Amino acid sequence: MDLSDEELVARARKGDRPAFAQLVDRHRVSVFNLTLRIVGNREDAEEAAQDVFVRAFRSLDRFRGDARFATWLYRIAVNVSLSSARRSRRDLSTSSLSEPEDDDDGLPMQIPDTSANPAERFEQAEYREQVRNLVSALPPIYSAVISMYHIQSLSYDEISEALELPIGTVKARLFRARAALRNLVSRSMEPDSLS
Amino acid sequence: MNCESTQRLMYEAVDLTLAPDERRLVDTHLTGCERCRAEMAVLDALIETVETTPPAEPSDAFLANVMASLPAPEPSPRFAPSVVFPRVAFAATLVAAALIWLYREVFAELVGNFLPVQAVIGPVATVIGDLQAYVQTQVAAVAESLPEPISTSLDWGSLLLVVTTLAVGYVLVRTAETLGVGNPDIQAGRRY
Repeated sequence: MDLSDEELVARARKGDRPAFAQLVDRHRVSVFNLTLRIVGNREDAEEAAQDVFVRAFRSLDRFRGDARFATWLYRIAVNVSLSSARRSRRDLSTSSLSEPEDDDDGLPMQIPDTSANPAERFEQAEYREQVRNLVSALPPIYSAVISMYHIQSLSYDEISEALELPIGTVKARLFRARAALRNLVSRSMEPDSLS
Repeated sequence: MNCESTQRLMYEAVDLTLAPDERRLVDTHLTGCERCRAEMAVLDALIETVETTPPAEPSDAFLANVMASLPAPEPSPRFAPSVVFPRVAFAATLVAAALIWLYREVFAELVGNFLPVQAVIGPVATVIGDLQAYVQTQVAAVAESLPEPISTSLDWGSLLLVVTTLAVGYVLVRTAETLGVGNPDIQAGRRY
């Protein structure tokens, strides 16, 4: 019989390590994918994801249970990933939950040329890989919200809780993140970027 | 509504969070603008690609690495059976030894004739008495063989019983610790 996350947490709190191992096994893919989108490379993302679970284990007593365990994990994952991105990949000023400074509205100022469908220009797998990389290339907060909303299928409430931001701010950042991603895709389709 | 305004709203339209009147404005514009329709289609396809891209898998060693990185368990004196059990066992041994000594030295005559006590302690007392008599005989024999007779006023039998009880208790506790009795992780042969 599969135990719920909350039951496994209760056991893990009492020192039951196999119960915690079950939690890790259950959430490792989603946590890893979140850290991967924010950090941008597998090696650092895997290290960050491992760190997420170690921190979670140490903080189990502080998990109050008023949020889903997964949401609580994502909150830790975002914090750990932002720190990792700050160290390895990103500029300090953009590796935070604040908006990128040069992106006031985040929307494309010019309507991109959509005459060529990206799916027609790339093999599907290659295109997916390209999009995956472009999500990682976004400012960390945008990578985080896109990953949580579109990949982890979290609700606005859950993202708001995980990022400790008001729902309105989460929505605004998600819209801007989509626009920024769309811009990146457009740019990556330009002939210069393909050479 | 112009193209720029429409495209601003498109990014909200993706997850259907637009207010009905805004949605109507967007739809009206899209009906008459092929360019924005195409842009909307690209955006939908892009989001679909993001949502349907298979998740990346962490390495096979991920779980083992996490579990190996966890801090070593700190057994709580209140809850860890592997710590509690030997202590309780040792304390029980001490109490048993003290009770045996008290019974032999102080209470035997007082409570020995009380029927329920006799029923419980009687068989044990008989065995202990036989053992004590044997030990006393041996001690007396050794004492008599010595050049300078030692005093046998001390109840050597009771003393030896107490010492033997403590020794057996100690051996049991050490054995229990070695075998991990009461420690669920060791018993299950778990790695973590």
